[in-house]
Amino acid sequence: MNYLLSILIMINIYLILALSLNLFMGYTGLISLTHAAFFGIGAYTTALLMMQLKLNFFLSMLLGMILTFFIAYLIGKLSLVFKEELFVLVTLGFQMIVFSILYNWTKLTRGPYGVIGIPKPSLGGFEFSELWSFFILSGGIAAIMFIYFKILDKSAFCLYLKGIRDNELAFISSGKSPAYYKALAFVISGGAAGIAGALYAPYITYIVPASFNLDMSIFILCIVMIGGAGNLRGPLIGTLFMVIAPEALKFLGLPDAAAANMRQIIYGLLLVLLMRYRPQGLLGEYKFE
Amino acid sequence: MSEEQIILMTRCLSKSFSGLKAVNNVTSYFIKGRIYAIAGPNGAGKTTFFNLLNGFFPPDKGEIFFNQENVTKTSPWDRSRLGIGRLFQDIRVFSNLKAVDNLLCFEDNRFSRNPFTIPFHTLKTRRIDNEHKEKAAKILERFKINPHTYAKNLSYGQQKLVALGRILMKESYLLLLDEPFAGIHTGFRKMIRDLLVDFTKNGNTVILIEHDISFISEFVEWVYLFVGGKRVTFGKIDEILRSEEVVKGIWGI
Repeated sequence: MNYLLSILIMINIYLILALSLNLFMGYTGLISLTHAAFFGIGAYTTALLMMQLKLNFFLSMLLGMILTFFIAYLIGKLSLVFKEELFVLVTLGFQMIVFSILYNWTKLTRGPYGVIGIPKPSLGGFEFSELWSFFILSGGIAAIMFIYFKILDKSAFCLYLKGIRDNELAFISSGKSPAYYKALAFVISGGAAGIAGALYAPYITYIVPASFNLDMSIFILCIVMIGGAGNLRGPLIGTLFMVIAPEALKFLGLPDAAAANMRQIIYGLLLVLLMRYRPQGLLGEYKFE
Repeated sequence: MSEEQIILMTRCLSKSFSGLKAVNNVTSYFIKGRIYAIAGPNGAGKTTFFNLLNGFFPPDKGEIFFNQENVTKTSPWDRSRLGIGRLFQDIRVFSNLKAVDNLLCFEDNRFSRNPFTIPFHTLKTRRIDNEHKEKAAKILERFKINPHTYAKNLSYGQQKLVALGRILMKESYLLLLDEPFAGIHTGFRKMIRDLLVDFTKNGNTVILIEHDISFISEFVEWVYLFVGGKRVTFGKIDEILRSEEVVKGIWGI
């Protein structure tokens, strides 16, 4: 039962990550590799505020999200000047910068030793320390995020993003600035990843910079690529698949050392095959070209 | 003629691309409520002139006034918001969007465009959305286009109509149309012509680039002739058609 709950909690967290990256990637057609950085900023800010300033989890999460908004705004402003491949490279650069700050600012983050003993969230005397209660908390937040992204999906905002994706010059002649909407999408996407980070830190209770490195960015990217981008079904199926598949592999009875490698190989192969035969992913709407 | 009657004016507008003078010292003015044509051989700088008016790139020299306001340094989206509409020669529909969404993309939905406040405005948004949808449906009905067809599945002529319909969704006082009649059949041509004539009745202005002078001479009165980036002649269309040396010089016929 606990095993099942822990998988469900990870699904909730990764679902928020996938939906948030999809808002930027799926609707604007640009690929960002900074997502793990925003995930990490949310996680570290929440953890440090809870531990150092003894703030309540929900307030810490809110402040973590606001800080992520702010940093995403700065990074977006600087990187959205570039187009397509160059944009990917610039976001890769920012991912590395954030990682190395988390790694080297030892006074604040304890660097590679990580932050240990993050307390469980509590609300009015109730502590979300049991797995089932944390599942309800993370599920509730994931559900709110899902509804929010559903509202966005139907909004003029997302329609504009799709317009920009299809033809930027034509969109300009509608009288709206593409740069403004792209930056807004980047900021919302980053802030939502911050919320996922805020949930992740007290769940794991132990965070290290390596949880928020380029590998993580690529993993989130894979969820969206494999599941599909440009709608909500894609990231949902992608998350379910990418979180459950490795667990299912455990039951194949492979030796532990081989299992981890097998997982990477299977993901890699799957990505290659999908990009060749189904570039829009399993249930996606948009084909990356 | 008073200043208020002029919708658009350019003064000594120039633009070069790696030494080639695409637009060379063009001074022009356009009066409200009229339809103008810009004619000339390929490479005469007609599309570049439009791109300068839209602000897609800055001129090397010269100024542009829209409604007596100097817009030379205004961003292209702000110029569009001021009321300059553009039809591209290569159409540029949003091909992965439905016809109706192509049109809605050109509306400025002040509640539904802000992701921070959308959840608090769902009711207001719905009302405005419905108004916009009705407006879009009306335009598409006039064009006899199914609103739910994806733009990439429409014919060339229908795509042109969708692109025109998009411009009509937002408030425009001046339309810059790059070859609106090229490559489409007579029925659509007449549809577009009637649309433009209607549009100018309220004091709005149309400038179009067109090669088929005899077709547009039915409803276009004034022509600017461009050759090699320069504005060579401006005059009434029938006079220009009659002037043999111009016709010879431009079209070689």
